[in-house]
Amino acid sequence: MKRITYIPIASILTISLFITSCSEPITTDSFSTSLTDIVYDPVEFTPNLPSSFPILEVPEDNPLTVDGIKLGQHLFFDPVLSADSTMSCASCHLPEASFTDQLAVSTGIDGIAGTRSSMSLVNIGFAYTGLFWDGSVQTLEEQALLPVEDPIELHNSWMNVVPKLGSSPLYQELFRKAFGIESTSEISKELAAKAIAQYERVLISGNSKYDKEERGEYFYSEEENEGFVMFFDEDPDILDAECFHCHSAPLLTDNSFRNNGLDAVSDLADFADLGRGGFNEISLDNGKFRVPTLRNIALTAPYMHDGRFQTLEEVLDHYSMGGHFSPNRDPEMVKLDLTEDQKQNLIAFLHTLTDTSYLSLEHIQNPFN
Amino acid sequence: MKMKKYFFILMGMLLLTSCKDDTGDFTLNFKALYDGEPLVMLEALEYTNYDINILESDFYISDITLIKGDERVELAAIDFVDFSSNNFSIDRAEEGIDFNYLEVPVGTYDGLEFSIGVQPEENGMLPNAFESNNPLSNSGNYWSAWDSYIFAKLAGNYRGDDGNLSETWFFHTGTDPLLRTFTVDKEIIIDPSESSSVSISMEHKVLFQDGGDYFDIETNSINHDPTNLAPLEMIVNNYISSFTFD
Ligand code: HEC
Ligand code: HEC
Repeated sequence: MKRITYIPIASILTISLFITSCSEPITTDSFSTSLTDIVYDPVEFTPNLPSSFPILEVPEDNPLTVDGIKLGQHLFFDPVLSADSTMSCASCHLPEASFTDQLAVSTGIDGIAGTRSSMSLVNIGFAYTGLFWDGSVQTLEEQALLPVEDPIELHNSWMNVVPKLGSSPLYQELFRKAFGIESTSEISKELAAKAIAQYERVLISGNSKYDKEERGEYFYSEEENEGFVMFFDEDPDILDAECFHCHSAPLLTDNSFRNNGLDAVSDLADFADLGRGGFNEISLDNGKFRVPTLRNIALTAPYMHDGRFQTLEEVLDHYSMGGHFSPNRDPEMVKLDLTEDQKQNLIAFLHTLTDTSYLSLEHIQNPFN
Repeated sequence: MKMKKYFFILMGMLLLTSCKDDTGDFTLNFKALYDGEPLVMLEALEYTNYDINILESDFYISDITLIKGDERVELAAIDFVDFSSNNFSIDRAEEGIDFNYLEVPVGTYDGLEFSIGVQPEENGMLPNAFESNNPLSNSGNYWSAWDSYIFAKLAGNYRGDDGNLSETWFFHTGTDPLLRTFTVDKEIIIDPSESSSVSISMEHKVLFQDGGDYFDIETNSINHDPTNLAPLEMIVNNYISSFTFD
């Protein structure tokens, strides 16, 4: 009798086992070349993090390896991911522009413009609250699958890309060395995404004047120092600009979702882009966007999720007036009434956040150059 | 044959769970009120002779501990009570925020204690020391000018000349001397067969009390002077007075 009661549970177990075993990664089995002749000898990669940085959390099933990063680096720069072989990830995430495209909004292979501005990828491995301006994607592994099939980005399909990778001797070797696969038939979009995510996790920028000053290797100019003190509210006798509440140290973002007063609306439903609220369907979160890092901010104009401001001067004019009123504008958006000098000091400080020393690192550069 | 295997696995699992009859579960619930009503973010609230709203109310609780005589059972070292993101609707405000503590040693406890803020040891550390699932990893809650976490944030708007709730105010607390401890002086029974709970209501209007009066948010809309802790002291003491429990 007792046994009978357990039968349904047992069958549920069997069924669920069955379901999991069905969801094999999509691969194309029209080809299959053995790769076991290529040596697989994974070497762990430990990124060189400044001591001020948070803990870099890496998923257990995708540890950083030298060859995993190398595969990701190739995929990131390779136009083979796009339908017409004209664009790669790097087309919208240019290394010299802190991995942005310096456009107000990005345009994909078909010339169709999106509605949002490309985002910097430096220190992206620390974005634990979710990716994109609205935080709608949780992990780099999930994110890396999306641009290939997005009609306003690479407008391709993985069904199309995977066989191309499988028939390329270069990628046969890179995939084998990265993941130890034994045959080209094991090449999958999931492995490609894992490799891209590994590459993204090592895009570290932590060697700016700001970092050097914190380490005692650089001294701010008077202007930079005034700007720093205002930015971090360090001195009660100097105007508090309140920036650090959202653009907090050391990443210059706390990765929270905030409304910094870009749109003047009286009803929460009226934001041009609902941002966070469009994703989680909480109207209180309408018009909130993920606080972006200010690292390399001097290189990434135009500014904001829709690229509405051309210069840092325009950005500071916005903050000076406390932004526009909307019901959920963040209370930390204070009307600052900055003088011209104060604006220039803040801008001088923002320029100390520039660091492109990663461009000289071989594991980050465009491998096809 | 196969069936038998599952049967044993299942029995094993049941056995494991049923072993824990010397522990029980405990829930600590927090609700935010304003003038006795559930506090919903962004709703206009009658203040003194003008209206305000609240957009942000959150704070750290630390050393959350059950007490039995001299015995102390720590439930958690740190948690973060985040009304800002919870109380976006009346339903959510009525439910409040639950912290579930599992496998608490059974017994009859004299009460519960927790601090509002961060214990000195952790407060001497920086957010980068903590994993992302620890609320202390939030760099937006740290203020280097204080060398301290921001223990509590309270922020919103008051009605401006334009008739909108458009003028901002915010109060942040922090620093070791301003850590305060709250005691729930109530018998708590931890029992393996049913989970027990304590619900704490926080009356937000009390947070603004200044003697027998309420302080003027309009003229003191921001407290942000790391050298002047007196106004903060009043607020942290108000946090203690704002709590009631059942
Ligand atoms: C057509 C331009 C374009 C291409 C191509 C493109 N991206 Fe992006 N990327 C964007 C835009 C625009 C956003 C912001 C989108 C949003 O928030 O809705 C973004 C956001 C991201 C983010 C999130 C960053 C953050 O801070 O949350 C990551 C990661 C990223 N892209 C990686 C990639 C990878 C990997 C590829 C290639 C597989 C790629 N992108 C291809 C335009 C592009
Ligand atoms: C209340 C939180 C908050 C405060 C305070 C704040 N910011 Fe921002 N900041 C944001 C958010 C959110 C965005 C992105 C908004 C968007 O695009 O919708 C942003 C964007 C920016 C950008 C553009 C970034 C980019 O990649 O396009 C700059 C520059 C900037 N802020 C500088 C500052 C400065 C300087 C201060 C202090 C004067 C400051 N911020 C204060 C939240 C804040």
